[in-house]
Amino acid sequence: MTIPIEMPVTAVVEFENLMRSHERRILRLAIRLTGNLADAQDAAQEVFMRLHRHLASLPDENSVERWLHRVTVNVCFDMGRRMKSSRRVPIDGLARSLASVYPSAETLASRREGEERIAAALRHLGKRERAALVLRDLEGLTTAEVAETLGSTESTVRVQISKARLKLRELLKELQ
Amino acid sequence: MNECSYREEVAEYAGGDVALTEDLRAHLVDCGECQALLLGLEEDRRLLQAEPAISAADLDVVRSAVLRRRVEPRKYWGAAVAAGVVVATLLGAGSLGVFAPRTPEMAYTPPVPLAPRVAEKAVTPLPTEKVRRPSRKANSDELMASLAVLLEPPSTAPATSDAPVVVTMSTADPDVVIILLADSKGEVDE
Repeated sequence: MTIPIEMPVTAVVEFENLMRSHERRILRLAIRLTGNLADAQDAAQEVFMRLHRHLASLPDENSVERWLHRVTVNVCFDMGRRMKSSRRVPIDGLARSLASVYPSAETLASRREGEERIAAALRHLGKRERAALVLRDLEGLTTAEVAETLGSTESTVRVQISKARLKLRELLKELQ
Repeated sequence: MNECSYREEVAEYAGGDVALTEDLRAHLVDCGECQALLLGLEEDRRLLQAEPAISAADLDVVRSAVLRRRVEPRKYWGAAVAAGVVVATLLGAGSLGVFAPRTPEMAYTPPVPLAPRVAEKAVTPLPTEKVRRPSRKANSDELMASLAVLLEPPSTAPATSDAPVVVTMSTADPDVVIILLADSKGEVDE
C-alpha cells in the first residue's frame, strides 16, 4: 500500500501526537513480547508506520488503542518467527546463560535484574501464551479484549493466561 | 509429585479473573503449596508490571526512524525524477552538440589540408548572415532541420597524411558548433 505522504498538516500533527501518546506503552509491550529493547524498537517502528498508513481508516481514539495492541502483537509474532531459532535457550541452561551474561549479578541493580529475569522467562512461553499474559497482566485488557486482539475465544484465552502464569512462576523460580 | 488441583484456579484468582470463592478460601487456609503459589504469582505480576528501563533516547530512536521513513518515499521519488531529468537533459543536449567546445581556442579551426574525397563532398556554405544570425527561438526540430554542414575551404597547401582532418559543422543556433576531428590516415586516397 502506498504511504500517504501528502497528508494534510492537521493529520500529520495528529499522527505525531498519537505516536507520542502511545509510544512508551507500545515500546513496553514490545519489550515484553520480544524480550529485548532493540527488537522492541524495530517492532514499535513498524507498528507506527502501519498506524501512519491506516490512520485515516481508524474511527476514534479507542479504536486506535485496540488497533495498536493487535498490530503490536502481530508484528512481534512475525519478528519472533524470523528469530525463533536464534533466540531460544534450553530451559535447563537458562540460569547458566543468564549468569554468563551477567556474571556479577550482585553489582546490578535489582530492578535491572528483575527485568532480565522476566524477559528471559517470558521468552520461554509460547508466543500466544506470552501475548495473552502480557495483554492481560501488563496492559490490563479484559479476557474478552485479549481474545478479540488475538482472534481467539474467551475461554481459550482464559486457559492460556492461567497456564502462562503457572509456567512463568516455575521459570522465575528456576531463575532465582 | 502430585500437583494440587487448585493451581489453575489460584492462578486465575491471582490475576483477578475470578472472585475468591468459599471453596478456594477454605483450600488456601489448608494448603501451604497454594499459599506459596499465590504469593509467588503476585510477585510475578509485580515484576511483569514493573516499568522496563525506557529512556527518552530509546523513544527518540523509534520516533525519528518513523518520521524519517514516513518522508522517505517522497525523497526517493524526487531523486528519481531529478535523475531522470538530468539524464534526459544530458542525452538531449549531447545529441544537439551543446557540449561542443566553445572556447575561442577550440572554435578556431586552423587551415588544414583536406583529403580530396572529403573536399569533393563539401557542401556549399550557406550565406554567413544566415548562419550568424539565427533565431534563438527555433525549436529543436527546426534546429536539426536547418543544420548545415560547413567545411573549411580546401587548403592550397599540399596534403600530408599526418595532418588531422577537421570538420566544423555550424547549426542555426550560433551557440551550437559541432567539430569533428579525424585522423587523416586511412581517409585519404593516395
